[in-house]
Amino acid sequence: MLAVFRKDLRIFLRDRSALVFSLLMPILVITVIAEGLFHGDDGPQLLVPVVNDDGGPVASTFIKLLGEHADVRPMSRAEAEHLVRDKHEAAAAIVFPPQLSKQYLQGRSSEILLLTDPAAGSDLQGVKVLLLLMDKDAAALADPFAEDKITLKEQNLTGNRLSVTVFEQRVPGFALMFVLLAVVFGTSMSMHEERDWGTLARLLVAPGGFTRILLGKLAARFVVGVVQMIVLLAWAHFVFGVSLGTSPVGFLLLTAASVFAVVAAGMLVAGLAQSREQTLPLGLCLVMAFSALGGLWWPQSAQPDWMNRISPAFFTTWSMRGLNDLILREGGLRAVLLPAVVLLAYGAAMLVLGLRLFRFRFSAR
Amino acid sequence: MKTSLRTVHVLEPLRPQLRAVSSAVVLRDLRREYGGREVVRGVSLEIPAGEIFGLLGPNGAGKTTLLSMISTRLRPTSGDAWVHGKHVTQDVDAVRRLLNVAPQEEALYPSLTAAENLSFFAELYGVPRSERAGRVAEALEVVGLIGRKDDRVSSYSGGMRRRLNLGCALVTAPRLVLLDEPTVAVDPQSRAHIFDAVRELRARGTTIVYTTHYLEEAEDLCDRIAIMDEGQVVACGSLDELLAHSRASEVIELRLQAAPATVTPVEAVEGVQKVETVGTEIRIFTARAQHALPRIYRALSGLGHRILRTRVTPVTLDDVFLELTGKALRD
Repeated sequence: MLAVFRKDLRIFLRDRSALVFSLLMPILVITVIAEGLFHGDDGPQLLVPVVNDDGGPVASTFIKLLGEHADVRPMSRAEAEHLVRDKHEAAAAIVFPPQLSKQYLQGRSSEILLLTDPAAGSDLQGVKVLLLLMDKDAAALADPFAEDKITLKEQNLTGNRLSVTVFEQRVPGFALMFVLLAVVFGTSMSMHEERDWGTLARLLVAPGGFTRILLGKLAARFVVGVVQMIVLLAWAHFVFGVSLGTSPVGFLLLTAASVFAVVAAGMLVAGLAQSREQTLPLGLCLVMAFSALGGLWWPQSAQPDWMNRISPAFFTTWSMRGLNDLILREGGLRAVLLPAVVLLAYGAAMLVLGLRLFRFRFSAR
Repeated sequence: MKTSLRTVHVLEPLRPQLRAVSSAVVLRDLRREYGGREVVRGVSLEIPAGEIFGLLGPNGAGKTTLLSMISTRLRPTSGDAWVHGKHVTQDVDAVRRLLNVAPQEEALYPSLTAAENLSFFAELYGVPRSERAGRVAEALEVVGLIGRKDDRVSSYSGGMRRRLNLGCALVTAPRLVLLDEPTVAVDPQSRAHIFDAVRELRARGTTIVYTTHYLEEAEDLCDRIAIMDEGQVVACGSLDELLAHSRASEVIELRLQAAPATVTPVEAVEGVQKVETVGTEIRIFTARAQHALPRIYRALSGLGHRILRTRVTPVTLDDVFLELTGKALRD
């Protein structure tokens, strides 16, 4: 037993690349995850744009109380809507209408408008909780909500739904992560298996060129990935009622573009790895990092700023943006066009690099 | 001391293309370098169509590298090679369509059946769908695996995998087949199947380049043999030609009824090089036993000796290799 133990350890320690991928890469990934989950007291405060068309004491009181718990920024209605609807930097904006204070002091009812992005999920819930908190704080001064003089009206700026379920927020990300796992490993390992089985020797001298053969293999993985993604989300839709958005064409386009990028990532792993064994730690690090930074596990609004700044460099970010726009914001085909184009561009770049690396390693003449 | 027993064919420099077209394979000063070390050093050969051409040599002689250059897997560092008139670097795709390879290592998909493996490689090489089933069946018949065609390769013995490995090279009906040590670690039954398959290919007009380090295979199977050592072809010709030009000795071992008092008459026989005696055993070294044996018998009869047993050890390719390179083929 000792002999086998020593032999296996010796083999492992001789593979320097596997050593790096087994130790160094997980350290990097854990750091990313820790930053995303546990950024302590330096975490971003909830951004709440406010539109103070009232200008009176009621609005001022609300804004003051809100400011003790969130990053409150007064701005115009157009700017507030832009932040919520277009830039997705705020989950909701509060509009204090004109004459709010006057009507309140006259004992008449009025409405505070909450402009929402339901896709923001937990952040939107956070804003609503803040309003409840503020209500309690304001009870000492007055109790407008308790007396039903001021009511809250929600308006969805990004679709037709006022809320989304937690399941709808999480399922697309996890579905994409499982596709990442299956397709990245499947693609990279299948390339190296040809070498292990000896069939690479035949493929390299087959007519038509090696690149054509590699593309055939990748096409098979692409089909598997698309079917997997569709099955996962269809299951979520029919069994758990998760919405798939309003555009089947948009859904298929985004799925195809995302899976194309995933397959290309698998080819890149195949090109970087020197052996089948190396595809495991390398692929795992890629999947973990891309999942964490792409917002597959948690909303990107919960990440530190530095992670949000670099996240567009990861194609999974664009997949999640597309999925959120499609499913949570019911954005339709137009909403996924930009993410799809970006995904195709990323995929093409990774594919070219991966093919070149693999050819250089294993088919150089 | 290395001696060239046969002049390697010198191509006519003025009309190289015409020479190239009439032969299945033409190599001219082919070289391949790895990291400053030349593993194939100026090989020039011509292989006529329909021949089983053997490449015999020890491990590391450069046989596989030479085959890899012919198959277009590797680009020659310098020199030229043609396959049925197509240049291996200028007409890569055309060359690949003319030939097929059974690599030294098995090249099979273990989770597919034999028929599926063959069908895949047939399709890869562009065999039309209408012909594919027939080609697959034919290849399976040739290698003797028709009864196991629907079994997964992972269930096959080593010998059966080797046979299927060969079948995958045949299914495309190539004009040239490159077989790299096809019988390594193969059972006798599978070896016999492989030999039969190779002979059948020749009967159909296919050219076969067969590398091996088993001299018995080269002797039994090949029309002509090139002996390679350290990247060079040191001799090339038919078996008879190679043996005829060898200065190596054949050994005649005789057991007599009584120990001879003298062997001088035996030593005087024409062609006898040396005589050794140990008791009643005599070992006679001669260039050609066939010519010397009758005279040896007469000489011993004249001395009154009765011969109980005769054994002749002929010159083999191993002897030829030893004479040319100073080492045994199995070293």
